[in-house]
Amino acid sequence: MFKKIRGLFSNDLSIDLGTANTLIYVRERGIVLNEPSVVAIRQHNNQKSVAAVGIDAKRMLGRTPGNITAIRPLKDGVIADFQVTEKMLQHFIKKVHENSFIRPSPRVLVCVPCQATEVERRAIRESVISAGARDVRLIEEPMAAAIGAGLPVHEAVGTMVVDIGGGTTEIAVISLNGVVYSQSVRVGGDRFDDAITAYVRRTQGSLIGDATAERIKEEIGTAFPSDIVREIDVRGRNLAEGIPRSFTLNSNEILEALQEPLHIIVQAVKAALEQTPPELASDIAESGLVLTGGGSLLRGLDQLLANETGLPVIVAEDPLTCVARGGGKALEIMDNLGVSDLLSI
Amino acid sequence: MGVEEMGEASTLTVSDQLRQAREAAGMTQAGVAEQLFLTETFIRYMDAGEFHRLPKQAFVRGYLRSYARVVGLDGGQLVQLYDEAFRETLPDTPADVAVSVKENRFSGPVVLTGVIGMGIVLILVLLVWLLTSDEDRADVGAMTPAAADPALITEPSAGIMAGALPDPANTETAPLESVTPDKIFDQAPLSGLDAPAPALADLERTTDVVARENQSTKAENTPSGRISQDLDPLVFEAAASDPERLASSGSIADGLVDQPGSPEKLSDQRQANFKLDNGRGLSEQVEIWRENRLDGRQIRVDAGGSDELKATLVGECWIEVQDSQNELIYGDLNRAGDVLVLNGRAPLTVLLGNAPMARLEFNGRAIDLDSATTRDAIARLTLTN
Repeated sequence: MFKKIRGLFSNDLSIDLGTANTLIYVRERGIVLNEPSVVAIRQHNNQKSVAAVGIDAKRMLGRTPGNITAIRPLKDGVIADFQVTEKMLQHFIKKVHENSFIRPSPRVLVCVPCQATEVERRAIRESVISAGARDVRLIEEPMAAAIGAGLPVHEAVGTMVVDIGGGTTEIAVISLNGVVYSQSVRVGGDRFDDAITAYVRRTQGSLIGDATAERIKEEIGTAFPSDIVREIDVRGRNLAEGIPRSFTLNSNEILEALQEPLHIIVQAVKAALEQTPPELASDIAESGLVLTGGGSLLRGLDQLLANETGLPVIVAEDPLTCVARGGGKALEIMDNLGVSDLLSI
Repeated sequence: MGVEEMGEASTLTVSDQLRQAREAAGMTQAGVAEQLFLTETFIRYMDAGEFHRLPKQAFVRGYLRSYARVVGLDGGQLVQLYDEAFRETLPDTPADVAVSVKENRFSGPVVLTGVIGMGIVLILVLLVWLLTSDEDRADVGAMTPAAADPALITEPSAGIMAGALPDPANTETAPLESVTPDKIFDQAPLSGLDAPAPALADLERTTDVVARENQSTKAENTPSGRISQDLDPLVFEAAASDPERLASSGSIADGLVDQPGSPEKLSDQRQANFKLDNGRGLSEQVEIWRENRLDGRQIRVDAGGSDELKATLVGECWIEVQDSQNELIYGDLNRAGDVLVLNGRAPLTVLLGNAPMARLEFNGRAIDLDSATTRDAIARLTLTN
């Protein structure tokens, strides 16, 4: 009962609980929070406490003494550490309601990977409830991504969405507000980073950190050969000598490094196309498939997929926030139509 | 493309720009279509500016970007231009579903819920206030049972459950001695629990027994103990002032106890073994002032002591200070330019992450950090007088 009253003072939220970033969309305010899904935990006298969450926690990485560890509570799009996820959500929900004097108790819509098991879905639901939400609804990520990208999900037209997140890539064919086919592969931005780290280790004999790998990917990473060759100076610890060394990488090398994870994504997309009913496949062939998620910001990924599949491929507007925005719109549609289970699962 | 050409290009429409760039690159519509895996018709529509013939908005912007890339134009700029020209005429699809029913968002139900909600809040605040004051008085009564005023025992029930109890007025005016087994038996079914018949034989005792039971621990083996347990929902719940508990049990008259495993309960349990404090796990006797200046922050920490530790920072550095009882006085990531002045009682244990970025002074003398710094730039030292 109190939750309901507190709810009057809380905003409805749509949370994209991602492996790499957590985004929160608030109705009529848009994206209000976009922070890394990282929690810094301090171990003090055998007691754990939260030292920092989000950007602060990520900033602390590598600059703190040993009693503080940074944890990413989500792995492969699902909860790996229940308690820490709950603390993180609590922090984020509170942060969104910063100027509210009553403890917030919002309605929350959470986006989950479509291959998440019943147990994993329940874990997310429980976690969000424990973090203070009064009502939790789940929606499949590709559906939210499609709505966020402004695709005609409610029409009897097939659309294919490829959502490349931090931990997973979700591929789904959507028609008439439903997911006709979905496939999830556990390859995403993180795997790109790992591939770059492994490549640098193999070819340069140097070890680089996650943050450096991510920077390399963002600055010169490419998925398709291009005439313009970009370069970046990187410093890493030489494995043989044990001292930091500087070296230069170019975009062609990174293209080579990313071959394996990219191949997995391409194969998954092809498999999805094979499984799509012919009517919907022809719709997709006409209009093309849409890329969303942070991974689609990798240069040339749309060209690679277009060449491999022979279909037009487009990147959605502002792909990073598509899922969270779509979740918010879905919440709005559900409310306005007066139904509680449309689109949700 | 020169500056003049750019200026000229920006006045052209999206389709003109695309067509000109395509022709300049020596490409045909079919050539572009082949590269983008689109049909030639789509390219023709785009060249002619007939964007409404294409699929939905999200696709059009994507096509424009791809087209721009192939002919060497800036996709972002082109999409912006397109948005300015066509936004009004072509609304977004999912939005128009929402818009069609959006108008009545602030009508009827929402406003009504708001008003009713505010009313309920007011009533609840009043109730909570009433209950807390009642409980205070009831506590006093329970401490001295002999002098207990009968009204004190019955009043809480009159306060909250006017509708649920048989007749508050009756119980209020009746002397304690007149509370017969029959009367209590009348209340028992209301609580949803059946009082066992043999137990009732002992109810000749006055309600001050009940009052004593109220404050005492539960006497397991005596019949009156059993009665007091049976009466629990009535007497104890009525005295309870915790609004959360009242709320979660729904109606007191139902005599329900908290649903085990309700979400709120769960989170309380977890809170117990996982401490989330004000962020840093600091000792409670410490006062911290932070002052932002142009050249960095001035941080003063007062932990009650005459020894002064001063840290001047030239880069990011984690500083953590513990006193002799291993209580954490300060622990935070400091930025370049920060000056930290900490008053405490020696010995102080200092832990620095990224130690080369800090200069330390203890009671006015500089501390040599180099010898205490490990290979991974962490320094751990104990400062004594």
